[in-house]
Amino acid sequence: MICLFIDTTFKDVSIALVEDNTILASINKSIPNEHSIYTVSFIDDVLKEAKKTPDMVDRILVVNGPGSFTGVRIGVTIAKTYAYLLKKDIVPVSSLKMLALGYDDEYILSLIDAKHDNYYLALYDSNYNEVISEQFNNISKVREIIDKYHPRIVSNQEMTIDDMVIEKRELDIVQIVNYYKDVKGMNVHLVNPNYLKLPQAMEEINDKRS
Amino acid sequence: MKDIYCLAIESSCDETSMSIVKNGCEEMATVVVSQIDIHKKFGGVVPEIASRSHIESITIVLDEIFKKANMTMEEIDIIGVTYGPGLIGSLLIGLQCAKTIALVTGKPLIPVHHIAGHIYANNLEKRLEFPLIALVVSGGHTDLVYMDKDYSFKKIGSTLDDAVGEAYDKVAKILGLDYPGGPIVDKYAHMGNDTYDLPYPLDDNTYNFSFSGIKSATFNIVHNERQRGNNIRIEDVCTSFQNRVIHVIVKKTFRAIDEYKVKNLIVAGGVAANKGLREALTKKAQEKGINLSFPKMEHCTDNAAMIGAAAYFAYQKGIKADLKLNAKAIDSLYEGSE
Repeated sequence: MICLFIDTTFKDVSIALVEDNTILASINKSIPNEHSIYTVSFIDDVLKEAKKTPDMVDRILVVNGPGSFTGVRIGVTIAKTYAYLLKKDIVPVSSLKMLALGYDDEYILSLIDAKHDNYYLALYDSNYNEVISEQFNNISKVREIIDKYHPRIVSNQEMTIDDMVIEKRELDIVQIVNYYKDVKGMNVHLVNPNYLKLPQAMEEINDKRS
Repeated sequence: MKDIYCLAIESSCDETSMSIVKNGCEEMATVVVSQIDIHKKFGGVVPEIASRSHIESITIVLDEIFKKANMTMEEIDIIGVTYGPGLIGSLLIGLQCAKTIALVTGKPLIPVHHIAGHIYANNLEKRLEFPLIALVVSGGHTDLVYMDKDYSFKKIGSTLDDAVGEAYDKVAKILGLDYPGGPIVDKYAHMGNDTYDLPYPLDDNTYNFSFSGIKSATFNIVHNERQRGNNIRIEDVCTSFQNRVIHVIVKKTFRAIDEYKVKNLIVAGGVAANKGLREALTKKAQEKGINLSFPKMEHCTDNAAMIGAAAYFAYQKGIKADLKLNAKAIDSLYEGSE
């Protein structure tokens, strides 16, 4: 079983080809604002390095957010097109959950900076079930969760919450692929970004109504 | 010569479209998913909402196009895609889709400029004859272009401020008409009288255009009348505005035809659907014995068929992109300019 992993959610683009617990080839590069240029060619590079052709991939795992709207759309569009053309299984991966995978603490808080003291967040138990579901919220909610649950905190980048320094979580792609290995592929047309946030124009219309 | 089938993808604004075009002239099938109803309530295209809609439609449209054309990917020779100009978040969806198809199938990827597409929409009606003048009129462009052969574009004039379609939409907005307002202004212009004293837009000896002056003058008239509590005769405002805009466009277009000694005129872009402009150009072309070509109505607005037509001639010229092709929000089509 060969799995193609695509993550374009953050500054780092991660592309990997994984076969039975082994990374055949991978690229992990920080290319802010250049995802559109390089992602498809990285996939080409990874396939060539592993001496595989595109149709030899059995399954595609794509991180579908939350994160950079544009970044997520690039990865998801590529994954959808690839899966559609070659009739491969496609499985969306949560950017919040993938950061938590590998820890067995009682509570794990996954945090992604969404600017201006806002965060994408989710709280998981040791089996990675959602205790607090994925959401877009502000720093007060983050403090409230920390006070109540004393969780391990994981993030996609180094950040400071009050006095706490949170280190960047390096992705363990084999672990992610293993966690999702029994998840069934979705209908490709229904795989879309998980933004957790409305476009600004829609929020403004909703504000006017309420 | 072997037939060349192009799968073309266009997503530069608020339409997700794919088409299969044979030899740059024969449309096998086209699918267009328009988002116009989504953007209507915002009074214009909201870029983030447009991107979200594109990604939801993209594989559905891909599925649809092959069913509609009753063809398979194996029968496709080249992949044509709009790389710009347009809304960057919208362009990216079509572009990533096209690059992935190129990766998976190994077929050549042909980057197409959106305006080259609008120009080549005419090639789907009948084969372009050179030399020609192309009048490009849309929500983003107002250009006069000289072509002496295929896929060679020399700009001879352009708008200095608003594009003509943009001026139409803004005038429609101030008059309280629905979005998109251009076609409604055109409709009302046929119902009113030329009674408002508006300035002629940049009626000079250049090939450039300027529509911000007549737009502002129209705004002022509407505001003043409203302040005085007078009724605005919307039809008359539309007639007065349209008459002057078309007068200058037609005048400059035919001066270019004289100066460049061409016999062929093609019109391209969304405003090519404007009835007033069609009538005025047709009349003048008949008087002067000029071959005039318009795209058919559904090829005036954004569509992938025109991209497929242009891609064929770009391919013939040796234009090809690799997998690092990027989208460009702003990019000039023209040789030796910008």
